[in-house]
Amino acid sequence: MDARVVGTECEYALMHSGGRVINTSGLDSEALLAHMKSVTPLLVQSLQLRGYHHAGEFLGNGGRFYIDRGGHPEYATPECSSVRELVAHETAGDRIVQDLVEESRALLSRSGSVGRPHVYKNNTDGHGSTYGAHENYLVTPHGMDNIHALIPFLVTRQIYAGAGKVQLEGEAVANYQLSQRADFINRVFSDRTSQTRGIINVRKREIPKQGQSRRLHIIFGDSNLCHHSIALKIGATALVLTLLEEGRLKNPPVVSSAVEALRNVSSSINAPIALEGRRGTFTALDVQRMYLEQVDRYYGSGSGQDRDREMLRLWSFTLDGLERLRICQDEARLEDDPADLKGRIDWVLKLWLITRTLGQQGPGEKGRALKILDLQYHDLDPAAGLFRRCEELGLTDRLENEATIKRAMVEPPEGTRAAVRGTVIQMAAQRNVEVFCDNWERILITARSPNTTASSHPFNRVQRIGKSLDLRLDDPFMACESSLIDKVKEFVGLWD
Amino acid sequence: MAETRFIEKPIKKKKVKTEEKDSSIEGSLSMTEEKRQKLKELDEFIDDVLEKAGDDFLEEFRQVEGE
Repeated sequence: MDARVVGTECEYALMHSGGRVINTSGLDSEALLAHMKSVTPLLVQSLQLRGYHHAGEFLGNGGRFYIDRGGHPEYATPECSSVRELVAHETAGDRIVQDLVEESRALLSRSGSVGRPHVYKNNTDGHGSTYGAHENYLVTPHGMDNIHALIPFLVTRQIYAGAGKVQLEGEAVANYQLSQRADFINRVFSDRTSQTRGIINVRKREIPKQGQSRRLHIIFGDSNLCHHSIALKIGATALVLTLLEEGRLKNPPVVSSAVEALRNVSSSINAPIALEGRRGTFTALDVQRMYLEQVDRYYGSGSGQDRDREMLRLWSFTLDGLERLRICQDEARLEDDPADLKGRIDWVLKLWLITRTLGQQGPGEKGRALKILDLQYHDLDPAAGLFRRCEELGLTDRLENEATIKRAMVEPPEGTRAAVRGTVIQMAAQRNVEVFCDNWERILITARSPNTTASSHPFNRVQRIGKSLDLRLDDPFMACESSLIDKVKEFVGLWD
Repeated sequence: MAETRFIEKPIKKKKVKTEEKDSSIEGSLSMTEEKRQKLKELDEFIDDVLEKAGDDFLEEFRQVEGE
């Protein structure tokens, strides 16, 4: 596959509390959900107020914003055809959601309500509830038939794609985990996304046609903020998928107990992993290198594009850096980071922040401080979130600059059907038509009301053309051709 | 890509005590004044975040199970 369609979905945590008047600490799930439902409509209302073009849940940048199960605001990126596009659009989603939260604060304030909502890009509340960060990849039938060979890679990629999590045992002993989601995964494959979660979700929402590529849906992944973590998670996975599709992944490692291994690796980066048919034990880094070597050989022979090789270098650099990293997970401490991964990898950056702060806290305060830092790392408000503050201070390495991210908030990526969707939504904004996107594969444009000035002459084109235009986007790579846009433009113009 | 190289590679690896963390992790001897200022700002920001988090913050941060 020359290009691959990729996309991510992120469920955010919405926090709205305000002292004695609004206190969510004692609420059960039902009451908590009811409370969230009193706030989430403000986010939806804010879309309009902040001037985002949208058609229902779908946005003018081709992505989708909605309120998902559990009252979680969710942003799904538009279909992207490169890792850099994906990084820009996932980060754009974070910016959009924070923008909506800020507008909601203003609405609440104007109505005299107390409390300021905050939104967090993380995956666990520390009380046993989790919410997801899902990935989607377009994969050929051959790749899907051999997808089990990807499992050891997915189990171990948390060493650069984990967002970090503090788990306190006792008064002041912290076990620092690499992954937020590892504790909540209990199957390799599952058709469910709650209670029982698989590394790969096999829910069949669409029936694949013979010979057509299908959607690979991975639900064991953390919500990342660092550009490099996002890029590596998606980019390295895509590179391995290419080898699978091309039949070039030879003798891939087989993990004896994948779910146990992913939890062990999260708790200890050097946890031994038993591989079937191989003597001795291996670490997550060893397993990653087994994949990297084969990918390197494939791309070293001239296959692929420059952007694939850029991702390969990033992956290789990161594994080298992780090899030299020194940490103490039992005490949540970063001891040595010679490759400066703290500016690139979420769990390392969080651990560095914790290490800086730990020494300044008294023993009684240590546990509480750790947990607060853990949560506040993910707050998307630059005035309160640790990651956002590090970013603003220039303490993180970015792959995409602010101008590109701002553009991705309103413009769709090129090269996939998202460009058609986004362009149509933008063209129809404030015109006399309504756009309905039932799903990612269809756009229906309908006239709001008959054009009163239209002639009833039988040759009148308005009469002949009908009141709706149905666009099918079955092909994810469907181009935004000028003939298609002209057709939409003409239809929209007729009803003004 | 904006490269941020604010931390120098330590010359010698050593087991550090908690109170020594800044000098070992930051390589503070070769830090520029600008870098030092940024880290100071960061530390003040973290102090502020910890101070502002109310007593009930951790208890109040509760979510309904998602996917």
